[in-house]
Amino acid sequence: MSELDEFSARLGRVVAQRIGLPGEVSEVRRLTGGATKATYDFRARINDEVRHFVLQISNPRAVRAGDPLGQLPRVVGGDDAALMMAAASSGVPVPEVKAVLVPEDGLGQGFITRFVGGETIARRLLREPEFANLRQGFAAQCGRILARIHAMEGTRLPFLQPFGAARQVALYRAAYESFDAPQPVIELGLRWAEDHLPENERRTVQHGDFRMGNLICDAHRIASVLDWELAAFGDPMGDLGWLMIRTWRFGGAHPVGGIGTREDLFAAYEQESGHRVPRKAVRFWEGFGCIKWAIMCLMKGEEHRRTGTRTVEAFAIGRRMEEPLYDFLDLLAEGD
Amino acid sequence: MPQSRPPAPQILAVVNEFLETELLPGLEGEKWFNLKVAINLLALIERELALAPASDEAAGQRLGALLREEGPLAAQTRRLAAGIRSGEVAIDDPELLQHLRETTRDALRINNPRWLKS
Repeated sequence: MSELDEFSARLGRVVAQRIGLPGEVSEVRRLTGGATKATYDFRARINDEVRHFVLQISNPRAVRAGDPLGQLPRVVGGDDAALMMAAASSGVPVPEVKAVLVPEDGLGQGFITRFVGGETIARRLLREPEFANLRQGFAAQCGRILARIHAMEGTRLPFLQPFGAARQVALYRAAYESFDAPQPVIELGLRWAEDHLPENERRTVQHGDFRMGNLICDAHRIASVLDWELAAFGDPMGDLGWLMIRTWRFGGAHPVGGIGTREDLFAAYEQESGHRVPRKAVRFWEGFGCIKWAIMCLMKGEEHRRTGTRTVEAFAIGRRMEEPLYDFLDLLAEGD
Repeated sequence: MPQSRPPAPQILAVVNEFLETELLPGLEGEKWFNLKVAINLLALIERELALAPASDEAAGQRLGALLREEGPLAAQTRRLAAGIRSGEVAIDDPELLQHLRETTRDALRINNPRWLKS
């Protein structure tokens, strides 16, 4: 039996036990894959119907005890699924969770969702005529969805880590320092962040990676919010700032995903949440977001030092570090 | 570098042309994507070979003036990073910011010239 056959057989047993019989699995295809995370697309027969599903495997980071990278929040497996189910009940569009893997399944940590059709590729969402309607309302829809995420009941999600501004800056500083690859602009950015921590932060559920690329869209709307693994309890403004950094504009002219305005995002957020958007805090998160992304690029480019596995893609991301640093220096030059 | 012919940048260029015109069109999916990324990385090295000598020289001069001390580029960069961290270097010093802007621009001219706004 080949590795894929064995994998399909195990997957079929999960489907049969927890989704429906006969559960016979076909067309298993890996969509994305990495050291700790992989997504598969497959069909399964339930009663007389062939249905379309997605399997997401998300294993914890392989780090040694005491490694600062191990301190960064990462929601995996059943927790990830619980978070998405909580999001669904708060009116956030997410793929419906159908089954959560257990160790006996022999597939790692993860879960199965219903397949959601649509487009995630930013380049197409920004430019193709068929998405004109989506672009029109995109920023406002982001505002409404974020307000709903930030209204999620946190007490039901005890696995989420506290990750306010001060802690984020400290943990990303520790992560950066662990590489011993001194970067003066990162040092400057971390000091700037320490000096400009937002005042009176609220503490809510935070998606942590809400941006173009993690949103499945159809011609009219955002159909699903994906990739919840960086979620935490933090300043909700962190999600707004992160969404607007230039990296996630994919060449588009406007701050919100390249296609929407700040004003539309803020107005919709304020209306849906009943909370004012403190502009200074958003600016902090945009500036720190640049530094954070630069550190993430460094982490990606250097991850082979920890994992022993190197890829051209990871090395290429390593060389993207100066993009957000350039944007950060731009933001500094604009002044307060 | 040896005085052998052809020089390294030309070898890189011809290898990249071969990969792009002869190999890439026959691939799809993950292999196509990874070769595309590899081709971009080779082009990045070509730019680094062409641009780094002059930008390193300029960075060395700026760092010498900022730190009032000479040394190899990597050691100078480390010293500057430590100075910013300790607070010894003021983070609003215009000379510092000018140096960082130019260093970042020079790196982007190599890593991703399209990111530069002007």
